[in-house]
Amino acid sequence: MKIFKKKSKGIPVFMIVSFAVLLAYALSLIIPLIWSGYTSLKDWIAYAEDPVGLPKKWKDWHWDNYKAIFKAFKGKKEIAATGQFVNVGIPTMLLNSVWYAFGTSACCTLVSLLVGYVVARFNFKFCGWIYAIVIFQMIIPAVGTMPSELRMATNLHLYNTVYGMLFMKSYVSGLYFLSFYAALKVIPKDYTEAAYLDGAGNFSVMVKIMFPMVTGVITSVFLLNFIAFWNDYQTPILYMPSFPTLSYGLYHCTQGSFMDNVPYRLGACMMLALPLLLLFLVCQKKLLGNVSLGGLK
Amino acid sequence: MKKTWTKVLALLCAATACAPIAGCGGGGDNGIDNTKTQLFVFNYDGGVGHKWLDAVVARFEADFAETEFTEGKKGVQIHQRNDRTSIEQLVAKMSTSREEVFFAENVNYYNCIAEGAFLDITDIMEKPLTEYGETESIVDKLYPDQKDFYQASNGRYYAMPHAQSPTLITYDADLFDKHFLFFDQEGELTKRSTDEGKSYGADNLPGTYDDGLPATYEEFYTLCDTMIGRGIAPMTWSGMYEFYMTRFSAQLRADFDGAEADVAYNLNGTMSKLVDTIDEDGNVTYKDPVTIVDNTNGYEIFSSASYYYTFKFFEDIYTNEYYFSKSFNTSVSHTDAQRNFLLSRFSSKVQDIGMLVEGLYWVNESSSAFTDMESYANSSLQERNLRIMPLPKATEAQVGEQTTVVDSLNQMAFISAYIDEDKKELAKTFLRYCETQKSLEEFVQTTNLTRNFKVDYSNIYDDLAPYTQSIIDFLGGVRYLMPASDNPIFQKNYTALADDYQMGTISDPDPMIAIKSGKTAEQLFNAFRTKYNANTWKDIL
Amino acid sequence: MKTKAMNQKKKKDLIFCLLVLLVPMVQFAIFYVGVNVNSFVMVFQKYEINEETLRGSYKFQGFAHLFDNFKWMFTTIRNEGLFLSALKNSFIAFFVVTLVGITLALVFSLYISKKMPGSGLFRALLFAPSILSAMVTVLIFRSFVEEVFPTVFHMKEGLYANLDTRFGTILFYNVWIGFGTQVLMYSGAMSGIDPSITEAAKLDGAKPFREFFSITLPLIYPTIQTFLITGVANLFLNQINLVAFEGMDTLGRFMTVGYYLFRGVERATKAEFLLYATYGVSLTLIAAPLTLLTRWALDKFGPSVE
Repeated sequence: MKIFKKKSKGIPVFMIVSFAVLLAYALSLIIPLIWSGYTSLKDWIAYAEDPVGLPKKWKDWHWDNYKAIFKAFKGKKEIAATGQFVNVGIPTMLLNSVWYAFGTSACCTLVSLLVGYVVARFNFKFCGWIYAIVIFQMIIPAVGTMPSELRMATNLHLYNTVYGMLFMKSYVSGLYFLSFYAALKVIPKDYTEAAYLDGAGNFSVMVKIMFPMVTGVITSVFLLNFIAFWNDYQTPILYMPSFPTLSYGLYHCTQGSFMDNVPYRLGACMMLALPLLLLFLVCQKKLLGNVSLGGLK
Repeated sequence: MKKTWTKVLALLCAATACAPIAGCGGGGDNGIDNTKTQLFVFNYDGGVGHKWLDAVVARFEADFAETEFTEGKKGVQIHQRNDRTSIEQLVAKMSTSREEVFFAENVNYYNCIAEGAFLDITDIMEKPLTEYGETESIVDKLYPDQKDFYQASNGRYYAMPHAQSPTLITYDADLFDKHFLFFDQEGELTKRSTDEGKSYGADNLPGTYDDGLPATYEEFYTLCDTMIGRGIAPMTWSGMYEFYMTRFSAQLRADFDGAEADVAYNLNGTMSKLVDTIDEDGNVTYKDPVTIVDNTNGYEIFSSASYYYTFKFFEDIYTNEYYFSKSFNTSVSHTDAQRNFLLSRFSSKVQDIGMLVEGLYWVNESSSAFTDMESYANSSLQERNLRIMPLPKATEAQVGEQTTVVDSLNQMAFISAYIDEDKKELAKTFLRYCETQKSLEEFVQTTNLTRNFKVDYSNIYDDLAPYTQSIIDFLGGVRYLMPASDNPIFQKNYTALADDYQMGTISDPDPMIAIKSGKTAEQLFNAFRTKYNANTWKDIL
Repeated sequence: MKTKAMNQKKKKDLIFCLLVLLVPMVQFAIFYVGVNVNSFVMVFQKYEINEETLRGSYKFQGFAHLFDNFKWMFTTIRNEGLFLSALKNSFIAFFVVTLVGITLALVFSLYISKKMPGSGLFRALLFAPSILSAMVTVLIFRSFVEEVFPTVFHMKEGLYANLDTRFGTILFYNVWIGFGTQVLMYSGAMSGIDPSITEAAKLDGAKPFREFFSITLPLIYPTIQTFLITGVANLFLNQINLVAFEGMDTLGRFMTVGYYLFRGVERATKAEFLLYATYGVSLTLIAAPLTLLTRWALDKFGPSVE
């Protein structure tokens, strides 16, 4: 009980300690970012001589580092008809990133939601099995399946196509399935019984009554999926060489001989991180609105 | 507000729907000249880069401009793909990929043959290059041990070597000169590189490139102590990629085992330097009589004294702090270590560094650093006196023995097994073209590196950078090994036996890190030696 | 009459369910069963190379040697000791990253859901690292602990270079970076709690401590449960971002089982693949019941609303 002992102003000590920890956390995020920020403006010689200090004179701030990074930041796109690889710029990669992240996260979220819905709301014997299978596939170290996965995708003509990509990502994600399951399970039967008696079908009950009750979970799962697919560079490299995304561009850029010193490497990180962070901080109220996972809404 | 979100959503849906169209955009102008035969080449864009390929492609296209490789098409158009796709991904996609000729690295040759990924190229390997006015075949240009490696057990060839990539020590000869860091006949450090009366070095021959350089580990320590006394950090390496030191240790081991070094990979041969006992002073006695190693007692390779001496060498470097302060800093990548090494002699704020442990190809990775250094201190690669240091020997008795070098990157050139029948001739012609004397010389001139063939470079030697000259000097006289074999036990236990990984099975994968964690050389060696015995070896067969 | 209507309804439900499950089932059949079925068969296979063509192929071990791959696996485990240390690390990572992570995330969420000063900003900051790719955050984090820490605190070497603090640094990073999702979910669930319940409790004289354990915790329990089950299911898969830290290069005693397998498979020869398939199947046989057991235990012994 001691930790909740009240101070004179009515704020528990516990909350003050939490505040201090959170403040420290905030600083631990911001300070490295600032350091990376000004380090990315040094030249490598100045960095080798002093990795911590600020650049001293105005001419030591190398803003042109970003020009060079920007120039090196390009993707390679395979022209499906001929197999040639050509360089593509940021606009193309941005477009690819948008549809890839949006499309795949929509598919993955929807599929997890649908399966979660069936298992949570229906009493068929196979529902228990589905639950077990989802758990099972979460656990299996599905590593090293890349060659057979590639073979499968190629044979089914899913390789290097948009619909193929969307289909491949229409999988049930364990964590999100569990979240939907938990959220949908706790909604009392009464809500749906009335609708069924009014003659509503399964589909309209699901879409019109049940899904609106878990929009918070849907939004957050979609958001998390979106972020994950936005940052995913492995899949685009392997399965859709004709559609390079921004993450792929960054990967390509860090892998190339260009990123051979610390200021450039940090600069590439900043270039990718800062716009995203700013966008996020501006929109965070909307994005993080009232989302929850598995709890009651 | 809700409306805005609906609009955003609609836009996103539209973007997804439009994607296929966008993906096809630009397909019209694809730069393909349909009057010519097309060839697709993959090149791993690592330390070797791709300038050499640009050069050879340009010459090939010009030389064969009038040749019909496919009916009705005159001349050749070659398309390059230069990136860092791993060999595993290349092989996984081989059947669908459009590339036909490959220059790749980290190739596990026999595993790829077993996957059926490589085309049989025995014909172009064995036929003398007479069409280019040469008498030797490509096979004739291989080192003897390489020939055994590339010729598979059925007598066929499926790939050929690409660039040389052993991990060695580069030293800054100008710095050595400035501080008189070359040995004289009495074993004192008093000489410059150009002075008379230097010691004979590890090859024990007067008047050769290694004169005045340490011949033994003991001399190497003397050198390091002297350097520290003169304010110089003796050596550095990449802290981020610990495998550079792992590879260097494999290098030292191979050199110690010498003619017996290949037994570590093919588990077949005689080992004369297996440890019987190590006394308190670290003196080693060998098992007598010599041990004949085969598949049934392959575990014996782990008691080779080469392990003990290499661990000891690393232990001495670590405990005596013969290294630059940032050598263990894990934010220092290989290119950062190169840059520190290059910069140190000119910057008053960075301690002078005498030696760098790196793959041979490092000067290419640092080409932009050399450009920067040119404006900073007027010191391009051509102007800098950087040289490869011959490997010092573990014991006095070994001074004068031929040096054995083991490859670090397994870079190879091969043709896809899935190539169209009517393209085979073109692909083979191109690969052969890359192995002509002219192309091999051009490779050296564009990359400052050497292809993995025995070649006489005397025509171009004088115009090369000192670094490249020292590569040719050093590698001209060595025994060159590929660190793998087709022995099924080796392939089945790759993680336990391959150079880069075997150390990781008993301790930290890099011996230097294992030493840093507090283990002694003897502890490490004993852990290795007892890892397998006659009983447990049976289970991994 | 009633049962007939029930059956009718049941039939409709069944058709509906199957329709809804169609896409995921096809996807699962192709990209899970189809792709993974090999690994199960491989446990009882051997690899052979044709002496003529040099092509390799997998063949059935034969009943006399049925369990040879398991023998191989156990010998490898015994002789290398590497797997055992990876196993230990996986458990440590589970306890530190999952349990410490959940506890801290709960504390932070409580702070945020109580709308204490700066809670909006903190929630955004806690989530911020999650939107960046691990490649970016690891690079910044590692450069910072290696370059800035030694200079500012006059240490001989960075926290990652120092082998005594390396594993701790990796664990710290994972906790540090991983709050986002959890805090988002917990605080969402907490603010979803009907205020009238807590008000009623306060009027009954419940202290904050009791309020938390009797009301808040039980109500957000399903969320915590989800994270715990996922944590256990991920026990042998969690690579604690080691790939971003080290690439495919070995880490010796710092690896987890997830990294051990990932790295092993990446570099495995065709013959060696059998060993990793055997590891995979064996670990699944341990982890699957463990996960279901965890779920059962959490259901049975979890808190309930009083």
